[in-house]
This record gives sequence, structure tokens and C-alpha cells, in this order.
Amino acid sequence: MVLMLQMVRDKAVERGVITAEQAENMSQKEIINILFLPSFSMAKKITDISGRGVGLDVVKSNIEALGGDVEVRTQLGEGTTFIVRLPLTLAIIQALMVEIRDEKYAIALGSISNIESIPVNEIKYVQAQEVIHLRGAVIPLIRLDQVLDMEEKQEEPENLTVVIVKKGDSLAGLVVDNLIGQQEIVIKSLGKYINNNKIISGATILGDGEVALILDVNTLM
Amino acid sequence: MEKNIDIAENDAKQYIVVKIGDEQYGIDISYIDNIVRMQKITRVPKIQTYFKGVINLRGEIVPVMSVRKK
Repeated sequence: MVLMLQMVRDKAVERGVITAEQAENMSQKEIINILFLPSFSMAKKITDISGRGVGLDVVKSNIEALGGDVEVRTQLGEGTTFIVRLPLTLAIIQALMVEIRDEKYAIALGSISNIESIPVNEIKYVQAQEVIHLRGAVIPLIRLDQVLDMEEKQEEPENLTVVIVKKGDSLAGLVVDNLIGQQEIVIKSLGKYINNNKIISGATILGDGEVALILDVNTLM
Repeated sequence: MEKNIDIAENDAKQYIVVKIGDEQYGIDISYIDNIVRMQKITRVPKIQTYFKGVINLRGEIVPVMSVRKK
């Protein structure tokens, strides 16, 4: 039996976390798991910030909340290894699905401020850049169909659907054709071979098996 | 005699031969994961021209490259 494990076990008995009888029958793994119990500490001294048995408990509960796990391997005289495993598809986000021509794109809900319907005749120009006035703010318009290399629309509708997105304090309006709705999506990587100036931050698979791309608002603005 | 044939077979490399236009190309079979039917390709804007886009291959996002263009 490794000395460190014995110390943990003795401490646990001393603190009344487990009984001496339980301690005798515990496996190495079970003893290590004691370290992660809330309010269990090996510290001899308690200070304002240390020794209260919070640290490892927080680590474990947060990693498990993300769907991962922590493993501890220890060898006397060689040290201890903490192995943290996190799932690759960590990111499930709420997104707004929009349609531009016949293609579907996802915009992270967290970066959306609001959605407006803007009459075309309210578009102004500042240094050849299309802008709109909205509640006292001047917001630049980004024509997603142009950014995404799509064919120009034959006839412009009277009203534009504009998704107002925010990045810090600044706002921008993304012009889309249609809103599909809000849904939870799993972010998947496009892989390392595709290189597209970071406009697309990933892709997701919709319920019908279709692939929708996720727009990276930060790069667009 | 039989033994010799076995060895010869083991030494031979296997290739998948594909046709692009009038030309034929061989791809070492050890690089090939699988061959699937053409399905709807989602266009990805602003990528290298030899990429057609991405497809959903059994839940994985897989980029599709046009060997002809490359």
C-alpha cells in the first residue's frame, strides 16, 4: 500500500468520513475518491483561502458538469498524475437558424441582440457603407449573401430581415432572407483541411441530416 | 511452390484505381477508409477552390475535395 494513500485513509477515518472498518476494505480507487469529497482536506493548517476542502470538489463537479471525468494515478516517490478528460464536442449552444437563399446558417444566440424588420428605404449610407438608424444608434449592415459569395437577388423585398448582433459594445446588422427559429445545436469542427478566413466557426447536423454552417459573428464584424 | 505464391501475394500492394476524365489513378488501399455514394454537399463559402464543401457522413462532418480541381 502506497504511503500517501494510507495518509488519506487515516485522515478520512480521523475526520469521521469513513469508519475504520470501511477503511480496511477500501480499494486504491475508493481512497483516491475521498480526496474529491466536499469539505475533505489534507491540510494541517487552515487559512483564509486554503484547507477548507473546496478545491478538488469544485474541480470534479465542474468537469463532470461538462461531461468529463478526473482520474488520479499515484506512485510513491514518483508523484501523482491528475488526468482530466473532456468530451470533444463540448459545445452545445443555443442558436438562431436563418436562411439565406436556399442555404441554412446558425448564429449563436449569445451574440444576438435583437431582430428587426427594416424597410429598404430607411437604409442610409455612411462612406458607401450601408447603415440603419435604430433607437438612436447607427448600425452598419452586413449583407450576408455578399459575404458568403451568393448570387445577387433579382428583386429586393420592401423589408429586410436584419439580425442585430453584438460584439462587446458595438453592433452590426446581418441581413438574412428568412428566420427559421431557435434550436440547440452541437458544434462540430470542419476539420483542419478547410481554411475559410474563420467566417465559419463550425458546422452542425440538423434533424433531417442536413449540414448547417455556424457563422462566427466576431469575425464578420 | 505454394509458399512462393503466398509471399508474392503478401508483397503486392493493393490499389483502388479511379478514373478522372480519361486518366486513371491508383490510391494505396491502406489510405482508404471507405467509399460512399454521392450525397448532398453543403457548400462552404470562402474555402479553397478544390473543396466542394462538407457532407454529413453518419453524423461526422467530412470535407469533400475535388481531385479533378486539385
